[in-house]
Amino acid sequence: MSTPTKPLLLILAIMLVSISLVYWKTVVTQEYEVVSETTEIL
Amino acid sequence: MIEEILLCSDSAPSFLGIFDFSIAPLLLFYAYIPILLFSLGISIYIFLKNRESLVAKVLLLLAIFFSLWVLDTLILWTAAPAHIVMFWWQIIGVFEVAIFTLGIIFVTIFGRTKSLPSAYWALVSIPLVITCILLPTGFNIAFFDIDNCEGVIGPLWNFIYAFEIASIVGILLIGAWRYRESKKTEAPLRQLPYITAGLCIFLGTFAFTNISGDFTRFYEIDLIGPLGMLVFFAYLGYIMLKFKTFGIKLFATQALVGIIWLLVGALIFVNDLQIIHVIIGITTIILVPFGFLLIRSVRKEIELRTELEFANKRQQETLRFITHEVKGYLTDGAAALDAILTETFGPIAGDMKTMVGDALTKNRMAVREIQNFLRIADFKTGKVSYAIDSFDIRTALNDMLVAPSEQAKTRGLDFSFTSDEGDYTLIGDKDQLLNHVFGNLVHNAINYTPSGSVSVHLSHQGPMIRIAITDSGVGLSEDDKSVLFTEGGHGKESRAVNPHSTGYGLFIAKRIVDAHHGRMWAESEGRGKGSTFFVELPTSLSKKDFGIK
Repeated sequence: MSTPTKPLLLILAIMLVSISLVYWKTVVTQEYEVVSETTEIL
Repeated sequence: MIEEILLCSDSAPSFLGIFDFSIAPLLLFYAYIPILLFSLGISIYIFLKNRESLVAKVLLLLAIFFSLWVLDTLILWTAAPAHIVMFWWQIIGVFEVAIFTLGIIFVTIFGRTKSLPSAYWALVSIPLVITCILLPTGFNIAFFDIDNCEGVIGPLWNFIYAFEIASIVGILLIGAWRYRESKKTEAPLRQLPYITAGLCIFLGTFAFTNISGDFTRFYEIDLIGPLGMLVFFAYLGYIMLKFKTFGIKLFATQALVGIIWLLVGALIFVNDLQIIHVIIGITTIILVPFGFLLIRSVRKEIELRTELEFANKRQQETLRFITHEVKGYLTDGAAALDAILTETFGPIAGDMKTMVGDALTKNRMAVREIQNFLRIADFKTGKVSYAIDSFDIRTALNDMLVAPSEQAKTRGLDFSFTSDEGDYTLIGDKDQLLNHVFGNLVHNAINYTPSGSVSVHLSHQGPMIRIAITDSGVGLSEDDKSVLFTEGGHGKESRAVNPHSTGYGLFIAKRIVDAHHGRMWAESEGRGKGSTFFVELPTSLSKKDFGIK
């Protein structure tokens, strides 16, 4: 049975793009909402 | 300006400025790392042994995504900076969906020979694509709870958990349906129930601990999750042993021993007595079924080997009896033909003489082959005995080569026997060396040389006497050389030139030379370029070297 290489690579590419976007938003620009019971929204 | 990093409230990063191992539960590393190493190790091994197999690739991907999930969880437990924890919270969903998707693919393609339609691949990828699209959005992780140092999950997780439960049901149904369908064919997939059960236990434990951990916020329950993976790989190990799937039998045993080492070795790093009790408990639970399987497998191997040895011995004895009887009849026939040919009972016509001569030659060839069979049987049962004495190999070869040189000349070949100066006294079995080693080599050289020359040369090589038999015949390839001295081994051209060749002559010759503490090999520049067979025998032997006092 042959490997469906193209669809597999496409999905892996989508995954990488998605994870990179999360990385950019969270680690690089740190644009995420932080909530604390004591200080409300930081 | 130095930007201040937001840290989780209960932690102080002591390792690389990021990790605080003191906040993690003590069982964390024990629950995760050995299982991670085990599943990655076994799947990489299966992949390396079956590179072309899609099943092996999917299994490897499953182990990789599981390892990424484990790594993600370890970071979530131990990292202190909020943005790092938030990042890993956000991407863990994609690993979970990939694991369940690969589970579905695994049970669908296991044992399948036909390709699946593109529609299947598109359909099975939908949940993964949806997760990827929503991953960077607030649907995934709504916000970060700094007090508890965790991401607060959004609506995407309802979809992920629903997909996880649906996947387990799907795997169960696909496994059961495929097994039922395969039973109607000539090759039922008997491994499939084990695969399905293993996957469902693994993914079931995984989903249950993830879902209940999120709803109760008691994340310690997650520690049980990876144990399901162990069950899955234990099932894989079992089907390897039982059905020899993936062609690995020994590895399964090695893996069982490996995991025992890992589990027991991990104890060194724990010094809390209660934790040690828990670890020993888990190890015992894992050891009992593994140990049982291992013992059963070894017992079966021993039984099979004993049966095989007995059957082999019986077969050897029967073969020996039959060939011995046949040899007797053929020898009687040869004696009668010889008497007719030598006109013991009166003169015979010319045509008849030729016919009887041919019959006698073929009869003698048959006797020789049977002698070879008997000799091989003797080698295997250790019944070969050698009549060891001192003799001059040059004189002996000179006498022996009279008949072959005549045969070579009648075939139009140049034949020569030369030797360097010196003493050629040897200790050994003269009859066996002349008839079964040199006789055989010279006979082969003449038979496999359609035109040209055959020469025998005797020389001294240090403490050895070297006999080189060179011909300008069919030659040998590298492949030929590798099988030449094996039981039944043939050069590729040999069958075309001599269809009656059994491939036992050189095997026997090599065994005799070995018994004389000598060596034997062949050299050739390739097919059609002739060959030289070398035999080297030591001159320093005494009867003691043959076990004779």
